[in-house]
Amino acid sequence: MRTLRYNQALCEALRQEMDRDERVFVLGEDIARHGGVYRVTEGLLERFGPERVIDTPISESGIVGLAVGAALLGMRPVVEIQFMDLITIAMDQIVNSAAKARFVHDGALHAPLVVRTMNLGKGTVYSSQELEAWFTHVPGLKVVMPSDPYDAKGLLISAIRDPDPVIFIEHKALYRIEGEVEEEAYTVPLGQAKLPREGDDVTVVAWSSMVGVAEAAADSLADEGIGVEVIDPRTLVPFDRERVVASVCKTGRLVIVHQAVRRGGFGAEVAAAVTESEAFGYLMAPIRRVANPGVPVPKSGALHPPALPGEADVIGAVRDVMAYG
Amino acid sequence: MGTPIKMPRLSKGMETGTVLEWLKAPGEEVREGEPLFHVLTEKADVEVQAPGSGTLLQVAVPAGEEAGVGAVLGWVGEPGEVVGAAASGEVKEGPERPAGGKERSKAGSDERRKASPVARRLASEHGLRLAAIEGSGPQGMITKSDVEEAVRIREESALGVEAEDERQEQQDQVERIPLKGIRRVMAERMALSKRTAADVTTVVDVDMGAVQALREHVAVTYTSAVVKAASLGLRKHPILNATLDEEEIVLHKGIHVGVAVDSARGLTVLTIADADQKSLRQIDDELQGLVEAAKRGTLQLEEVETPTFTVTNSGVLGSLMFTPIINPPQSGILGMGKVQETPVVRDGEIVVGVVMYLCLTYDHRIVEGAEAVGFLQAVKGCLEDPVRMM
Repeated sequence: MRTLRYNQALCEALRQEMDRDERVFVLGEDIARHGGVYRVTEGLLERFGPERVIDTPISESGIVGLAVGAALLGMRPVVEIQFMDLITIAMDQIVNSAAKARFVHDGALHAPLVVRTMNLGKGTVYSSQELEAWFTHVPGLKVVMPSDPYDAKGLLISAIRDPDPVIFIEHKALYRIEGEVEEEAYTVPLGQAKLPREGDDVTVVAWSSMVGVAEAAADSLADEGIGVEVIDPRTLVPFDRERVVASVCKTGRLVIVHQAVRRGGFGAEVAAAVTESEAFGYLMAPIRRVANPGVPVPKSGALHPPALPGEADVIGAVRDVMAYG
Repeated sequence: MGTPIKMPRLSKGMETGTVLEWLKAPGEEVREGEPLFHVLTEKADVEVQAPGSGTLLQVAVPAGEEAGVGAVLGWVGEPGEVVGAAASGEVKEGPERPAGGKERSKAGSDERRKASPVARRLASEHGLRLAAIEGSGPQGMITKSDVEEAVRIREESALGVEAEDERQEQQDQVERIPLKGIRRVMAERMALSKRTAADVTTVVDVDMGAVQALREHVAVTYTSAVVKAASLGLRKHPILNATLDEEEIVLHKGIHVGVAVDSARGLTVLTIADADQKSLRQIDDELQGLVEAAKRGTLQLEEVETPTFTVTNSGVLGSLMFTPIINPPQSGILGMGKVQETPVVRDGEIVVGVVMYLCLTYDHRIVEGAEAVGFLQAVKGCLEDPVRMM
């Protein structure tokens, strides 16, 4: 199988879906003539023309509002919000219009739009927030966070074909990652976790850019004889609870890793779901979370290590839970 | 909320008591004033009455467990009433404890032990009490491997027991009596005594002819006479009225003589407070009253002092002499042998005498041999010349 970068895989998903279904169109800032800041929409304008590949003014609320209206009338819009921090401007359209559409119209109308967005990770105070927990909290939204090129393509196609609004969160650190991607269009089902590493001692649940960090930690810990099972849920809503619960029943220890702030982060939801499940009686140690300690991500690279979770933090947390016999 | 049943303060200085037996089971009807449970204190086994009428709703402290004075042991109320921590915050803080009192009872029970969820589940599945498992995890948390180790040890000892059982069955049929309640307390206290005290027993013979003659005029028991004589001996030799408190020898000013009696429920110690200041007659009356009360289970111990020395009479059962075991933290115990007619040499003649052996076990950590024998001689002197006790 040939390899593609993460951003190329996303671009291919968009192209194939636009080929397949003429209701699919893309809109956003700098996506048409410029091809997107991270080249995800490169070449689409040439192929599909300005009616289906639309450069918009800098108005996130207006972009999403347009997309919600189009979706309610049967279109399949794919919005790009350049940085996740800017999605806050569109919250009313997402939370109050798109997410509730199916409920308030008693199923007669629904809003099948996809809002693609991303964060820079090691970026700036205004472009590095991971706000997935804001959206997992809202009924009616699905939240997708692919960690590699294969999933990026398969999950974006699933998101576009999904009848409900999907928040599709990408990550700058992932765009250049290469991986095998099938040429044909394919889907990765929403709500199905995968296990990039299997192990018997500790379950580490991580998503988006943290999956690679967790894998690196797992490889280091394997040298110490600690078997880490890394679970990538791939989508937070719907969440593959069964997969995580089964793993914790096996290992008895759980570490959750996300780049987002610990307090109120989705890791808390995962921890609560596990303690509410049959896995509770298998827990050998407290559940640990590796996350942003509660600070805006600073611009200064020197300040990134304490703000952004890294491999050493994951290793520390795993050793910590291993101390409980 | 029902009426809480609390651990009563049954004697001065009582800090904790052990619930020996519940006379009613949860769900049974109870009338106010009706005997409800037995408490074992340092001094005696006491029957306690129900604080209210209704149904015994819940037992919070089961038989065999210790609780602080004032601790809620259970509730009496209307059937279906919600009781316990769920009903009010009152008992949530746990039993009231006297200042400086030790953490006991429920504090050592399973729900407050630090244990991982899996350890808790495994312990429960194997019927193991967490309180009995040492925690090796962070901050003493009981881990899964701690429970697995406990299970393994129990299985190994169970294998040992099985082998023992087989041997026993081959030899004879056996009856097994669970070691609990007063039996358990006795076992623990006796073992504690033997483990800690440097005990020595010394014996003198006492010519009891004078006391026997006295008894023809004044109806007192030999035990009362020995209690009186011992109290006077203790006045002369206060080191035998002392207790060892870690780094210090504590000499007690009050001479409170405990008398060990065998009741239907087991060994019970009755106390004659300030025995040296009471007449022989008073002591005898008091003792008879206590024995009666012990038999009826109506001992009132509120005002009774903790004994500082003990007298035990094994002679009534026919024993000639024995080596009594000190009741800790006391430093001496005086055992009475059988009072019997024996040939004795008096003024070069063999005559029929009335003799009793007095056996003193003392704690050589604090009592010197000369003191002990001096005390015995003093007691012997009083008994052979009862006028000294008048």
